[in-house]
Amino acid sequence: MKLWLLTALLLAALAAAFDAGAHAVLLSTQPADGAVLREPPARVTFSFNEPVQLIDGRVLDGAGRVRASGAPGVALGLETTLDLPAGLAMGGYIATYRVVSADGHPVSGSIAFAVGEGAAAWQAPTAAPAAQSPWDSLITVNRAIYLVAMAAAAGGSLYLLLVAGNRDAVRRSLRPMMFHAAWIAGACALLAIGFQGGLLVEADPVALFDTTQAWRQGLASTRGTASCTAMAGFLCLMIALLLPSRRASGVLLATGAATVIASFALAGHAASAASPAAATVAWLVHAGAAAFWLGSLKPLLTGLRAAPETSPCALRRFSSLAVVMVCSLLVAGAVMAIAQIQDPGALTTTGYGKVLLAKIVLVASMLALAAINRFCLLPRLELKAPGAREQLATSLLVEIVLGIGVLIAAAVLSQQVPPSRLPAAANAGAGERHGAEHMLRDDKGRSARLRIDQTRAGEHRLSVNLADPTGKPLDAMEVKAELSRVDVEPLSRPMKRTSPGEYRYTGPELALGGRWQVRIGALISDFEQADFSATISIPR
Amino acid sequence: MKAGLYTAALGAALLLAAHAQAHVTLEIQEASAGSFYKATLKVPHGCEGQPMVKMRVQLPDGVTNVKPQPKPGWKLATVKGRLGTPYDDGHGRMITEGIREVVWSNGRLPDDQYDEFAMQVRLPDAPNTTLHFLVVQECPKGVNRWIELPEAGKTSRDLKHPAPALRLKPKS
Repeated sequence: MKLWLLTALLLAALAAAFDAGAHAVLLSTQPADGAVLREPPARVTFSFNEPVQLIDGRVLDGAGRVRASGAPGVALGLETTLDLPAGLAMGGYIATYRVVSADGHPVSGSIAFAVGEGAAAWQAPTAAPAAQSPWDSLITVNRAIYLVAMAAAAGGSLYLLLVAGNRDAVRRSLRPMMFHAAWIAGACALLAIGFQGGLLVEADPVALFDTTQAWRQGLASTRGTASCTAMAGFLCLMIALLLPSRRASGVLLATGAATVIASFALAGHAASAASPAAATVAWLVHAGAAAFWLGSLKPLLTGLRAAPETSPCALRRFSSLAVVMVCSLLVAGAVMAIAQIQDPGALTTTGYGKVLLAKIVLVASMLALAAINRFCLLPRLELKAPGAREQLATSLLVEIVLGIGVLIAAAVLSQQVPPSRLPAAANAGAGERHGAEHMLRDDKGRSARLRIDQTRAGEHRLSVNLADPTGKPLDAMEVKAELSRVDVEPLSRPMKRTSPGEYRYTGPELALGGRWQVRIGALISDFEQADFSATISIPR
Repeated sequence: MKAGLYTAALGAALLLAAHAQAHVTLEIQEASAGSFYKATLKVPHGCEGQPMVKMRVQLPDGVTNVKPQPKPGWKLATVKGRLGTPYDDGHGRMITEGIREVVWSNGRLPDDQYDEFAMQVRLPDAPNTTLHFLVVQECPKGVNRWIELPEAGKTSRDLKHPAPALRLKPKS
């Protein structure tokens, strides 16, 4: 009933305004685009020249966190408002809107404003809150439990498939542990969505299950996609464990494990790295190898105690596979560590670095134990030396404990800010950082060389060198840069001519970091416009 | 939340239908190649709250025998220039210069009103191609340009300010 009423109202409003045939235009905003305010505003208001309806709107702070969000509304009004929470910190903010006007034409855009004094207001670090959010601890603990359960379930599946050949007897014996691990991991993945959303909207942890706002925000984030993928994978694993047929369960085990491993690349530091392709591959290799290694330890231990005849064979098989897996794991881990750390000094100075050091130490200890197992204890077991079984069992048990420690360290790392993403203020004194250069071409042969440089903390300079098809600098009547992100509607900024064919814009918007779409529109003449598009990555 | 989603979806669906309402477009968007054609440009508004005071139309290459229609309240002028493609006038002469731009000025179209600007032209003999009439609307403190051309192989659907397009059909 309510839906029909809504439709009727909307159509009536549309019919009334049908003759207008003009799309809504943003007349002004409060605060104005580029304004620096002494006091944090209570709300952001967008005023249009005709009635509009909000589809989507949000306000992001300097760290990219959503501080206000507009729910789609029914009311058609000349103004759209986003209410802000009290006590906003100093720094830059981006308010973005997407509305639909009476004729159905969507209008969207963004504005930027800052809270503080003078030009320095834009550089105030809103990156990390002064107090640690309670969500960080919740997320870390949840992730630690998730990683252990994931290793047991997905890693156990890999063990079943690669070492035990998915033999019915082995599958049956591992079924209870793996089944429980799978649903526990799935539950943790589900909670992670809510926790991430709670962190983003800074909700009160107690109220997590009262409102849906945190869950909606979490679902819309990369964590939401990753968790849903992982949950699908765990469901596959649980079904696989219940199937009697070896072939069918084998297929589902492989699918489930692959899906769970793939979910690692969808969120976290990999998803927002500077070169996503390399980071994704490294992440997948690292996660897959780690899951296999850690997930196989318990089955091997159980096999050692329960099925002593087949155990040495399984151990030998695991050992040969593990060599390859461990090498890939170390290489992938090194690649990721270098990308996130960049400066070796950061290992001892930053929180991220210290936790990473601890993780490396634990992994090294595990490697030492693994080497002892392979070269010393396993041959003794195969020769049926007395006491070898107990020694090997103890060694595996210690490896399991160390492995849990490694996973806890990994969980802590996931919530730390990698040094490569810290605000530039941490590298103050380094002077200008030279950024990437992009060579763009349009279909008429004109070219634009786009360059992004960081001039100082919280400020970036966009430089464009336009050239005609012969390579000569090309002057335009007007050049505009349109900056947009997955969660920011296009911000239009005029560029100033600094020399023949060269145009520049310096501003704080890109300090938000992440992947931005940049569209350069150069008005060559009254009737000719050249457009160039690029996707750029800005490390925070 | 469901109501909001529904409304948003409805709005999105309607936008697909009503999208062109806000653009400057040609009344007849398809014509036979080589024929005489009356190009009527439909202008649904001024610019961003202001009235339009000048309408400039750049003609596509290959279009000849341009005769704009005068409008009461507007001053009509044409701009001649070198033709991109010289053509034979049928009497053995190659015509290298012709009308490239038509300008209606000194008039006033308020933002909340609609008007049409027309001219008669002869279309080139180029079936299965698309011609674009580039339009610039000038207002006291602003400009609206309808000059975006789709990339090769794509349509104007996704552009924000597409140039009015005319598709040439084979001669019938």
